[in-house]
Amino acid sequence: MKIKDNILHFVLGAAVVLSVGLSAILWVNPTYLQNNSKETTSSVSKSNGSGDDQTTKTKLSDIYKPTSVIYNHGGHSYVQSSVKLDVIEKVRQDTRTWKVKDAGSTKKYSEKKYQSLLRRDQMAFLTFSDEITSSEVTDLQQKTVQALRGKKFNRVAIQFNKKKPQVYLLNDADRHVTKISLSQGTFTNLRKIVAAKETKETPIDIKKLNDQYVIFYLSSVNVRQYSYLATKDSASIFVTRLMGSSNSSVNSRREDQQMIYYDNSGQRMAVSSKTGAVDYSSYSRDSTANHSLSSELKQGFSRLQDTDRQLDDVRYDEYNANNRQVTYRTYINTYPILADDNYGTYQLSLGGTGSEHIGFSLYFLQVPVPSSKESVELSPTQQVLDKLTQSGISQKKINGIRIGYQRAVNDTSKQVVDLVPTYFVLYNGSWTPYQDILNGKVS
Amino acid sequence: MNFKRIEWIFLIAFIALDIFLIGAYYNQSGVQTENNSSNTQTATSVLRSLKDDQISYPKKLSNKPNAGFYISSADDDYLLSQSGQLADNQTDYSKTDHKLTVTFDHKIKLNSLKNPQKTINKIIKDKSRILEGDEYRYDPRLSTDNEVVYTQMVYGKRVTSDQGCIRFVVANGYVTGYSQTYLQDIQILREKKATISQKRALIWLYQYNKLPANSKVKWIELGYSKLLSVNGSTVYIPAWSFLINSGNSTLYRKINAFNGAVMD
Repeated sequence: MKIKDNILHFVLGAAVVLSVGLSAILWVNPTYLQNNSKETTSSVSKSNGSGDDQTTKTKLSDIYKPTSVIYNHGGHSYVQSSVKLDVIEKVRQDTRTWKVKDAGSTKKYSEKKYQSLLRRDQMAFLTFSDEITSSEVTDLQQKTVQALRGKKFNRVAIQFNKKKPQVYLLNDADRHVTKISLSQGTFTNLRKIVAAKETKETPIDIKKLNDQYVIFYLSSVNVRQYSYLATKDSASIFVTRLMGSSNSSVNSRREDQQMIYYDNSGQRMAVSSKTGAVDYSSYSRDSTANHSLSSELKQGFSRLQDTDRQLDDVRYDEYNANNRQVTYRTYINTYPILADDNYGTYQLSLGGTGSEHIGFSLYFLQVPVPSSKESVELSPTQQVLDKLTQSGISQKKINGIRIGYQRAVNDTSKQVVDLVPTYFVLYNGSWTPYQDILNGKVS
Repeated sequence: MNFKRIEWIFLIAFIALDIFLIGAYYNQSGVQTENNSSNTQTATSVLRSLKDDQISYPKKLSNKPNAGFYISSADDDYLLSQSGQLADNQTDYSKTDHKLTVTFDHKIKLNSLKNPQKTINKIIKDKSRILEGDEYRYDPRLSTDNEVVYTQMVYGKRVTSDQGCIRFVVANGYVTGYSQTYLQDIQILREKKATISQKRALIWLYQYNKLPANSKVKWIELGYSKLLSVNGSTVYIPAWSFLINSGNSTLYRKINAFNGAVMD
């Protein structure tokens, strides 16, 4: 009788404990409280040449994708690439199956040990362009792993010469290494890619240039040249998309070579008639004090969606915490377009000075077309750096070096833009073709 | 009200709360699946609307995603340059549409009128009669009693365009000749990209009001179609082609398989 009486008490107690526990889990994970369909996916409508609108869903994880796959074997490192295969999408077919069970403690490696890790044999690296957190890489299913929350990394490393592949998160900025364990996940596509059966291997070394770990191409590298039919959106489209939501009417005035659109609610859009560069600004909508990387990157994505542009080739490129600027660039198979006037670029400034900015170009790449030149041969990275130092540029002033695309107008058609690969150097705060520095075009 | 009754009431209330919280927890972890399932619901409701509009379509619609390339081919006169190989046959070439027309020196009897491909598959490999014949496959959907069509295969898909096909002329049970266009020197312009499924393509077509009511969609096929011409080359992309019977007329429609846009 006593037990029977107590059963009711125990069951009620258990029900209460369960509800408290579930509530706690759901509260701790803020994604529940927000509208997930807006956070993780977006409907982006794009207008094509015929004027038809259609929607394509761009997900957060499509923007925050790795930009390169590196594999070490035989004592060397190689970038895996292909002109026929989308290497990153192939890898994502594997990473989408990964379920993170647990994360080990984060270890800070010495410079020597970290460099050694980047050269470790049979290690593959999925490299992101800049720091990221696991919330943006929604492929990695890890909603309940508290240890990963807010953890920054820019490389996912996979060690292949163990019985079971071991996965690590690496952060170049602070040399933090975190081992993660998966409850499930396939590596089939990754294994094929690192076996280089369908990809080309280019020998590289990842090493430090001033404060950054940078890819050094050890030999001459042939980089494909692309050409695109480029289209120019009319500014009025963005007046509607970016400024149209407020109730006040939009006025315009001409100022030098710019058209300025403005309204009474503090919104302003300046469009350069010469270059098509757009600078939209408004009073900051950011009312939270949460400037964590994850929150910034999610906000950046949200602002990117506001442009309602097709974002197929657009990728996260970098985040600058000092001015709260998130940069997205158009990537053509591994390399970004680094042209000026925001061509192919979206610069989001998320506030800080009380105003937000979105910088982009009215021009956008529509359709790839045959290129007059198949590829360009670029020198090994060290050779380029040596040329710069020989011309009097101090290596300390070079904060980064990478291969990217500059644009050139096609000889035969004005509507076609040639994307010509070259080395770009981060010099005086902006990415500049190294030839411009050598030619004295940049002081 | 005794304590026991209060306990029972609380127990039922907390069990109900727990069920709700468990549902919310699984909802949260399956958010993306939820989005997918809501897409499925939209697809189902669109297909239902098609039925309401008396539009019929093939029973087995594939939901499988596919992939393809942006490709290009030079708008040149390759067939003309190679036509010397066909010396014994009468040839004619049009530079406007890059079309080679050949009349056989000896017409070829079809062994079967119902299956003309059984005969033509043998002669298509004959290089003295047909150039690059091994790149073409019989296309029963486009063929009629008087015209047997073979379409060029590019990276595993048919070319669904005026360019890239051979049309054999059939008269009185004999193949008398053909006209041919050919995509030559095909270049891949970007890496392979995902395409929308057959089902999704049908839904887009309907949502664009390109499907008339009381019509029958006979077939929906994925192939490479012309997108545009620029600088002496033509760019082709994967596209879903539709053949629709509406009343007495036959309609052709195309959907860009990369982005779902209607193509002219």
